[in-house]
Amino acid sequence: MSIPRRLGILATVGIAGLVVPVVGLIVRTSWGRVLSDIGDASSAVRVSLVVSVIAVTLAVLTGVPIGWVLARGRFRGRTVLRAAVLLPIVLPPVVSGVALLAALGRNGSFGRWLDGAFSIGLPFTTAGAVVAAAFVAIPFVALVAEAGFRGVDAELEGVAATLGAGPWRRFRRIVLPQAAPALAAGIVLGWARAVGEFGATITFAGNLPGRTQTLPLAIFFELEQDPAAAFSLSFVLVVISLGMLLAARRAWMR
Amino acid sequence: MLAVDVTTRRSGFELDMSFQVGEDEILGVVGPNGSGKTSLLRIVAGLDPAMQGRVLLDETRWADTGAGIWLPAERRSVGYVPQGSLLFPHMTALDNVGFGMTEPEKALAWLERLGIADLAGARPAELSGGQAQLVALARAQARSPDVLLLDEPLASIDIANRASIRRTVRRELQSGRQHRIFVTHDPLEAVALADRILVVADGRVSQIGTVEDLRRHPRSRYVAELLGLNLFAGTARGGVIALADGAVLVAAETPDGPAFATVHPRAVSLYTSRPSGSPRNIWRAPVTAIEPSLERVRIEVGGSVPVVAEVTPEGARGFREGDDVWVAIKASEVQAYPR
Amino acid sequence: MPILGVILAACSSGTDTLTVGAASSLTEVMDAVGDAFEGSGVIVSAAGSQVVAAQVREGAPLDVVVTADEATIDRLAAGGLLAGEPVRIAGNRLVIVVAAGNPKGVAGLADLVREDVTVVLAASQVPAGAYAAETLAAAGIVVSPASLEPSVRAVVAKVRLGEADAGLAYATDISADVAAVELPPGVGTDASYFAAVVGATSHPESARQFVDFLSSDRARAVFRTHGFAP
Repeated sequence: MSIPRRLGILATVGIAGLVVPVVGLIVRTSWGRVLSDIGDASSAVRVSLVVSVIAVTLAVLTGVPIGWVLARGRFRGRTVLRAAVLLPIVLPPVVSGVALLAALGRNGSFGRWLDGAFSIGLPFTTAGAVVAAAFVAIPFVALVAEAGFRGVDAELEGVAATLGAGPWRRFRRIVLPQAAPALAAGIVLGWARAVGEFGATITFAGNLPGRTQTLPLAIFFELEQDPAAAFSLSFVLVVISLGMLLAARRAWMR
Repeated sequence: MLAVDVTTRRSGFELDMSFQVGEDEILGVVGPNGSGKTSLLRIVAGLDPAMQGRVLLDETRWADTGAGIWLPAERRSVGYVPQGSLLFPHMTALDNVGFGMTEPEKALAWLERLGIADLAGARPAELSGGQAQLVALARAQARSPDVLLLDEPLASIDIANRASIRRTVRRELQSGRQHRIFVTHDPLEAVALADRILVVADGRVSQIGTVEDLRRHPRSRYVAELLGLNLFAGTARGGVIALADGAVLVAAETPDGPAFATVHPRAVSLYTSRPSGSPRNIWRAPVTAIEPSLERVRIEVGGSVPVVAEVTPEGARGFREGDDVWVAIKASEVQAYPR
Repeated sequence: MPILGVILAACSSGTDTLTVGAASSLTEVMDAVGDAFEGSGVIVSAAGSQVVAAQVREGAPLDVVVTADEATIDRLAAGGLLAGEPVRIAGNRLVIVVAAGNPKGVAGLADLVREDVTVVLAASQVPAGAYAAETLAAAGIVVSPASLEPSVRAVVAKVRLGEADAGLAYATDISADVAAVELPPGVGTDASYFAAVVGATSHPESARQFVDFLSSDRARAVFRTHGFAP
């Protein structure tokens, strides 16, 4: 099918706007030092890996059930609940950080209780960085999982029930296999989001190398100290993100 | 004995039915689309709750709202073949059949029994409507359920395979000792497969009985139409049935009091001029519709006593919509019975 | 936020509006100085000095740059990104910033190593962070900060929010809800602010006038009323 010329022109402008910065980054990257720059940033790489993997694990454990509730739940206020759950996707990350501080900070309503009851303080800890990353990753997983679950005919579960399958077996044997590609895509997107998290992390968890300084934070500070290293690390993140997008797309389209 | 007595209500739709199905019996539920047939099956299967009432299988209470009992589908010994088969798309035909079995390795025997063992490895997307229907039937039967429920079992089958699939379905239906309920919008299908027929209209039992019961004594215009009969209601006395607005119908024999009367459309004769013979019932009325079919032509006549006649194509020549015709029915063709 | 500031500034930099990239500790005082300047209008884009420097390096449309240390602006000069020599325009001194009322009883730098005192500092890339590191090293004190914040204002914010108990910031950063614990005379590196004209400015004339004005008596008076050292 042919594309109307006006749409084509606007799309071209938009694509250029999206691609040019990335091309600029690639051009500025000094290839010879990418590996050594990653080595120098190994603590940030490690923090990013630990934080994002734990965050995405939390996101799967909670986001998938949330997606299920949103897809199949029949109750009042579901629309409002969905909006509330998906809010972090559209919220400016720094606002997420402020909100986390307000709730889980040392003086936060919930954080004060955590501190008093368990002596748990989240700000300035790796756990805090995990919370910040999970806060933005969970909605992604939930959103994609909901779409995946919606794609599974609910009548099939009814048939499975008449064949003696209880709720958990129906979920595991009928729903999960059919929603698996969507869930895989959701996990990848949620992970990408967790790796890339910056605003909420620096606001809520602070910036300490080896503990809360993730790759994006390291890049931010490296830009002054050693801009070339910032370009190297940014390039690495671009490659990782692109890879994850392609993987998600493959999983989604399968 | 499966005893069902349930009431339920959903936005703009009410269902209130009471009936029983014996072990070894096939009950055909027939009615127009939207009359509540599928809802009924889902309540019996345990997929939808009834607002009120009971579903009993012999001594076992599947549902009893008064006692707060409601068994979910997975705890009822029920096999359900939904409309459109609804096979699990991510499993092979064999795995579909084995899904509910305690010994899934015996699934193949069920496919063999329905003559589709060669489809064992096929995915549902590769099956025709009729093949999928047979797999779904095998899947439901593989658990040897006490109650088997089928929703429009022959609806999604291509014409080419209809006869052979119908044969297989009928053989399977008639082979077991089970309470069997199937739902259809097609009276012919109900007549062909069922021991007894339950006619549903607007969520209620319009009439229930054997095909013979229904044919002999239809108790509503809908049932009569299903069976292709003219139905009249009136008050009978000494061989004369007084219909609404003063018309009368003469029968060879009538009960006394409120009565129904049926006349087969082929027993209705139409003439362009007043016939001279012996028919006791003769009146004049306009033709409202002429519908040709393969062997016969249906002619609907209006007036104060609307009636349908079936005549041969040759016999139908000379009649036109809007023209007045003479209607004649012999008294011996009027079957009257108490209302 | 700093990026947004630059974009807004870029959009509104008409014929004779100057855009000044300034260290975050100067946020309020630069507005006041700008108001006092009788030449062009002045828009201030405040961020950590290292961010401002990075913006100059990447060609942001800044006309004047003001950093909170000499090293950062010298690097810009060495890169040939400035027009003319940087000028020292004001000074500042470090204090320990604590919550109002000083609930943890922080009396001096030595208290910053206490287990029960959560300390945040500015990152070493930020002048205030460099000054803090220098000051602590000179005092022979090894602090384990909970976080290295992207600007000195972020340090104050974390203390104000109660997430941290103490931090090192400029005396001029002290505002409501927080208090300063002064360092003894002779302890603590004093900060110096330097200004220069950005080489790529499209308003070299008025930019030069503004930088000259920054070291004038009138500007010094404004700095003084805001608590800055000469």
